[in-house]
Parts: sequence; structure tokens; C-alpha cells
Amino acid sequence: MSGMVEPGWMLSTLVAALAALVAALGLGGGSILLLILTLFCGADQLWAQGLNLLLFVPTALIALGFHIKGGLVQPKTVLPALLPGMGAAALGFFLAAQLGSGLLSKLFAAMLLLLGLRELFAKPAPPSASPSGDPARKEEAGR
Amino acid sequence: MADRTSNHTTAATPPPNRGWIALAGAAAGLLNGLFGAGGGLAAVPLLGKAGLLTKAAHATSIAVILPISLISLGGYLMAGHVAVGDGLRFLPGSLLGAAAGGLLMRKIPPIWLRRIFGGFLIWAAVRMFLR
Repeated sequence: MSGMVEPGWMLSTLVAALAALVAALGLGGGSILLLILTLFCGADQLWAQGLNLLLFVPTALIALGFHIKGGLVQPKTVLPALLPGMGAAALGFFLAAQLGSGLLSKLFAAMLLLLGLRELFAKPAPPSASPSGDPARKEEAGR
Repeated sequence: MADRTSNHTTAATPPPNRGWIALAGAAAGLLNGLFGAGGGLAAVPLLGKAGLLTKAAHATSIAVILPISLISLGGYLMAGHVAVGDGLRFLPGSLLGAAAGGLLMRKIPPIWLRRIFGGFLIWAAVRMFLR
């Protein structure tokens, strides 16, 4: 954390709450915490990324408790993702270590730009039948 | 009868496509290990292609990314990039936000959240490029 302006407890709580709220909605809120720490507090990219992962664990456990209770998560939809996911994570971590914080932050910025554009121009599901392949729309159209 | 607020798969819907789910896991895992973030943003649309409804996809992405995050986190801790104690001052906020998000999931219209979030990401990307 050297070289970083450490946020106080109140700011840390607010930022973490906002990031966790967005993460619990499955919107990738981890980026918010990471961005605020790196852009405003001068945190090192790799440290901020590690912190993000660390905080995601309790956040995800609590959010999942609610989502499982609400019937939104089924084991058969989770299991096929786990092995490929864990293997890819190990690969990603290895690549991160090779790139280092400087290059990594630029690459991260490029990813954010692409994803931001996608989110900004996302279209809502229309109320009636749509030729789109979105299963949510098919579900609504098919009844 | 279609219930537009329903976000569950039902017995009448086809089973989810395992190939797309595996791809969602791989994409999320790669981003998660590489950036410590962003996995959900890749996983959610791919889970949608697998046949999950919108909110089920968002919720399932969390379930997929949690074990993946443990793998990545293990790497970051062992490499010394971060220490467990570093998270202490952020923990109360994280717990509050997680509970709030868990409760809000059913009520929030996803589209406006996505747009606001998209705007924020673009602003942040520009700032990071210029840093």
C-alpha cells in the first residue's frame, strides 16, 4: 500500500458498500472499488486487484444467500462453469504477473471502455415478441 | 402464463446449454485472474446465451465467480500482492452493500443500472488511459 493515500474508514465504508451493492446485483461492481482506489488513492493496480478479490468473497457469500433463497441459482447451471473457470483463472493470474501493474492498468482500461460502451447502449427487452435470441424475450413472447 | 417479473427457469424451459456455461466460466475466470474484476461482465451475457433469464444469469454469475475468485485470490496472496488484513477497513461497507444488493435484486429494473454503470465505466476508462 506504500505510496497510496489511504481512504479513511467512512470513505472506505461508502466505497465498499457501493461496490458490493453493484456486485451483489451481478453487475461487476468490483471495477468500482478498483477504479476508485487506483484513480483517486494512487493504489497499485495489482494490490487493488487483490483487494477486490478479497472483498468479493464475503460480498458474494451474502448475496448468494439471498439469490439461492430466491431460486435464482441452480446447481446444474453452475457446475459446468467451474473447472474451465478455475483453469482460466490460474492462466489469467499467471498473465497478470507477467504483465505487471503498468501494462495491466492500460489493458484494464481498454476492457472497461469496451464493456462500458456495451452497457451504455444496451437495449431493454421489448414487451412483445422479438427476433432476438435473448431467452428472456423468448420466454415472454412464447406465452 | 408469462410473469414478466419472473426470473426463474421453469420446468417448461429447456435445460441450460452446458457449452455456453463452460465458456462463461472460462471467460469469467480469465478476466478474474487477470484483472481481479470484470468476470461478471463477461459471464452474464454468455449465461444468457446458455438459456438463463436475465436475473438468473446475474445471480448465477456470482455463484460461478465465487470459487474462481478463491483460486485467483490464492495466487495474489501467495505472490504477496495483497494481505488479508488490507481488507479490514472495507469489510463493514462490503457486508452492508452485499445485503442491500441481495434484497434489491428483485426490484431494480436492470436496464437503467446497466446504462449508468456503462457511463461510469467509459469515464473511468478514459481517466485510466490518461493517467
